Amino acid sequence: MEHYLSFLPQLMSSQNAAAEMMNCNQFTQSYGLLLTEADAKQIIAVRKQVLASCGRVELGAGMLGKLIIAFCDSPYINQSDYTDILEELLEIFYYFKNESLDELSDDELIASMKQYFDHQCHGSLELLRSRELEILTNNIRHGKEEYEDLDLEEELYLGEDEE
Amino acid sequence: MISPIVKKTIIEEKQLDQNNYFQSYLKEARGRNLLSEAEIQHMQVQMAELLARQIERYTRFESSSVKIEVAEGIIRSILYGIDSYLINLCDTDECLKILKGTTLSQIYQKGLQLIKSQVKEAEIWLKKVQDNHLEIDNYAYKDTLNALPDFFIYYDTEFFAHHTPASIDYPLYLDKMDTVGINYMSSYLQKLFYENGFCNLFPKDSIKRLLEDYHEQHEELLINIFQLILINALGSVIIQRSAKRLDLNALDCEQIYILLADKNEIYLKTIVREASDQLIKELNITGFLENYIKMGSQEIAVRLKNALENNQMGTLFVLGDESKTIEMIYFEDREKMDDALFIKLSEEIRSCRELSDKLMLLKSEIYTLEDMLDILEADCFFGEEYEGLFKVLDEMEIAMLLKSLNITNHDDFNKGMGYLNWEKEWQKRLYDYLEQGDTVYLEHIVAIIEKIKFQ
Repeated sequence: MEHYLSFLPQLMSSQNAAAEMMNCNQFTQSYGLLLTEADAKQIIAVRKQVLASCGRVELGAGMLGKLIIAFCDSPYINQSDYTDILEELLEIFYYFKNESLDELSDDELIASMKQYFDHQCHGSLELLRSRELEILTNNIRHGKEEYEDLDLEEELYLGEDEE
Repeated sequence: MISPIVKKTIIEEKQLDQNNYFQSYLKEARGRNLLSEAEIQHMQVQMAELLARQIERYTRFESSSVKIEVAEGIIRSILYGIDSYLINLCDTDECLKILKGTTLSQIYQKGLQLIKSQVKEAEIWLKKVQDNHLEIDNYAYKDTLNALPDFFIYYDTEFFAHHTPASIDYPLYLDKMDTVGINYMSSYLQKLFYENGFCNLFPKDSIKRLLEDYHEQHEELLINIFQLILINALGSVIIQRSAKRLDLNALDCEQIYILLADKNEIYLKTIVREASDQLIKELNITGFLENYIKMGSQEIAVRLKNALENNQMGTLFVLGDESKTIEMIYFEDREKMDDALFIKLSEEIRSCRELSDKLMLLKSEIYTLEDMLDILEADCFFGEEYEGLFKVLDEMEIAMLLKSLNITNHDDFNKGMGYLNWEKEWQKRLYDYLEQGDTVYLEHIVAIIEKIKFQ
């Protein structure tokens, strides 16, 4: 597996990623969210682990900046759990890129994650991971044209709960 | 003989892996201090940038990450492109100049252009193969022919240049299968074209008989037709018969065995080499095909040695089954064409300016012997056109014509025109065509005539 990629230096360009995350502070601080350099390094380290465990490769700064900007206005994120939530969102993002067979672009997946997180999941990462995104990517894998139509499944789920 | 002068290079071609040219070159160059550590690292950085750019293009700028397998595939494709360019240079010294003075991106782009040219050239070979393909009932051969165009539909020069997207089942005579992508496909098509060309030198009926003698379910087998024909043809030459004779029987093999059983490997290699030369000369083979036949002769010599040692000539040659009873062909002609239709057809044929159009009408509208004889006597063909006509008739059809002229065996034919007293132009032309043509072909036709009985 490593044969062809092993001789390439610094595939993931940590410096670019860290710089991009720090730049995002200018935008996120208006929502009371800031990352320190230590936070950025930690997130990059987690990103590296998650990419390896998901069997993916990312070159350059990646999608971290987009993720940060997309989620910074969420009512369910505050400074105290900012870094932890970003790390979990990273893991969810790369996992579901695989589950969607790369049919969803980065922007589409991030937008869906944000939509579900803020609304259907009411800030629950567990629900985001195990319910909405599972159904979404299942729809994609089964070739459903209206793959964003999660309503029916949600009703069925709520019906089971009521029982 | 003076050997050609070859320039001595710092790194010799044979030290490099043709399937990983760039990487093996870097290793050799680094080992000889032709490239510094800094230069190698700079190339690695360029490679990473090139990979990043290609990943962006692959994902249409919609994704910053891809699965590792995809990244590996893309980098292999990049290396394939770089290899294509470097291999195409004059020598390895030039490689060094290029690597020191050109960016990897530029080298890759040039390699990509080369790959695209190769694809265009391979498409020409595909057309040639489609034009000279064999008409045989072998599933692997037919399926492969049908699948070959898929390569040009699905081959991705940019992201998967190292893939060979085609289901190729038919085995070639000589195929190391040590290349991939367009390199493999180009080589496969070229060899298949020349193999087809060789096989087409032999009568179709001979090939059909050879395959039937080889195995009753030959259609289902993964066999190389060229090899079967070549080996039997060489067998014929060894016992001093025409290379075009593919029919070998037990007696013939006994003869080969007596000639060669006590000979060593060196002698056998010489015999096979000389037989190959004789075959090449008799069949007027030159160029690529000549070299192709010669390249395989050593392996045939080894197989011959094994067959002789074990007294199992049937493991090398295809032996005709003489135990089969002679099949008689009972022929009953169908109802001839309506007169009005015949007149219309003959006028249409006469009005054609091109022979090919005449022949197309004849092949598509004439189904009975009587109609064929009437057309031949209806002044539809003239002069040299008869030769073209006889060429498109198969052995059975020619045999039928001769049978209708009361030729029943070789002696009848050999009595000559003076005796036969054929007056019609088509009859004289047919006689000349057969008399001046291949004797083996005439033998086959006479063999068919002897089996025909008109009802």
